[in-house]
Amino acid sequence: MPAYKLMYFDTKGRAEVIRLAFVVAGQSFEDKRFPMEEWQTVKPTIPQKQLPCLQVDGRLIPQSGAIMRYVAREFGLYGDNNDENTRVDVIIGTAEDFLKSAIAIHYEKDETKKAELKKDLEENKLPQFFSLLEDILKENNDGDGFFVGKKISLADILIYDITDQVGATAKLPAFPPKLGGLIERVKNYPKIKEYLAKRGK
Amino acid sequence: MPAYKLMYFEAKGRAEVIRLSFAVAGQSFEDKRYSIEEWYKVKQAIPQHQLPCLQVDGRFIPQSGAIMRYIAREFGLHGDNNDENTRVDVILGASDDFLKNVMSWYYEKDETKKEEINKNLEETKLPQFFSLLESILKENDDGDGYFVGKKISLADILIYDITDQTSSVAKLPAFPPKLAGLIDRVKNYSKIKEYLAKREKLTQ
Repeated sequence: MPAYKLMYFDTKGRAEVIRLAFVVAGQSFEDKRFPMEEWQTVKPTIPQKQLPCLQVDGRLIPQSGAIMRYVAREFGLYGDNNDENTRVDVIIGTAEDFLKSAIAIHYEKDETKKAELKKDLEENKLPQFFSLLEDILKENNDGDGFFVGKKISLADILIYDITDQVGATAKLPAFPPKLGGLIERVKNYPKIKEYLAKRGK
Repeated sequence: MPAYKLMYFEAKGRAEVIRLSFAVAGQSFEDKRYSIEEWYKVKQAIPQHQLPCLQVDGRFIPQSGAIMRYIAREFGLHGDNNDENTRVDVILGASDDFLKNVMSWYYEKDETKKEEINKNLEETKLPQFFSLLESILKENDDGDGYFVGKKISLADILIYDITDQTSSVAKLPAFPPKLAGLIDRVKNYSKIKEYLAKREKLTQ
C-alpha cells in the first residue's frame, strides 16, 4: 500500500472532495494542512507552487482535477468503462463551469459588485445548476440512485461537497426532488456519515 | 464502429484539440460547424446549450474536457495506466490554468485593460507556462520524446494546439529547448502534418 499525503491549507476548498474520496475508499492518508507561514517556506518545493498537491510515496501530483481523478481511478470511484468515466467527467466539467461564478464572488473587491454577483448566484446560477444536475441525474436509473452506474462515485462526492461549501456562503435554492434524494444518500453513506460527524461544519 | 459527429462553431477554439485527436487516431468523424444563426436554432436541443458537443451514435457528450478525455481513452491517447492517465490530467489542468489568462484577455472590453492583460500574457504568463511545460516534459525521457510514456497522447496534441491558437493573439516567447523539440515532433507527426496541410488550404 503506498503512503498518501494530501497537502492543502486548513480549509475545505479544493481539497475536501479528495479527503471525502479517500474516506469513501476507506484509505488512510496524511491530511497535511499548512498554515500560511509554513506554506511560504514549503511553496518553492511543490510542483506548480500550488495546493492541493498529493504525495504518493515519493511522487508529487499537483492539480486538483488530476488528483481527484487519480484517487478515483485507484479506488473504483470513476465508473467502470469509458462511458461511465465520461459521465463523471461531464459532471466535473459542469461543476467547474458553475464554480467560476462562485469563485468570482470570492475575489470581487467592490462591495456593490459583490452583492450583485451573490444575488445572481442565488437567483440564477444556483437554480440553473441544480436544474441541470437534476436532468443529468435522471438519465441514470431515473435519478433514484447515484449519478453514474450503480454505486457512489467521484461525481456524487463532488456534487455533495459543492452544495456543502457554497451553502456556507450563499442561500441555496430548494433541491429539485431527485437531487435532494442524492444529497441525502451521500450524506448518509456510512463512511461519509462517520467522517461528517467528526468534521462537523 | 460508432458514428461520431463533433459539433462546434466555424473556429478552432475548444474543438480543435478534439479534431486533432480524431486525426491522430485515424478516425473519421463528421466535423459539423454551425454558423451563429444555425446555432440559435439548434441550441435548445444540445445538452447544457453549449459547444463543443460530441454525438456518438445517438448519444450526446457535452463539455470539452469530457469529450477530449473520452476520445483519448477510446483511441489510446490517455496513457496506459493510472500514473500516465494522471500525467495527462496534470497537463490538462496546467493548461486550463494558463488559458484563464487568454480568456480574460478575450473577454476584456476596456481597451487599456486589454492591452495590460496582453502585455502580462507576453511578458509573464507565457514564459511561466513554457517554463513549467519544459520541467514537466523533462520528467519523461529527459524531454526528448513525448509528454507521457513512449507515444503521442492528448497532452502533446493539446499543448501544440494551445501554442498555435495563442500565437494568433499574442507574441509567443521563444520555446525552451525540449518544448521546441516537442512542438516540432507534433507538427511533423504524419497524421497531424497531413491534417495541418489540409487545414492551411481551407483558410487560404
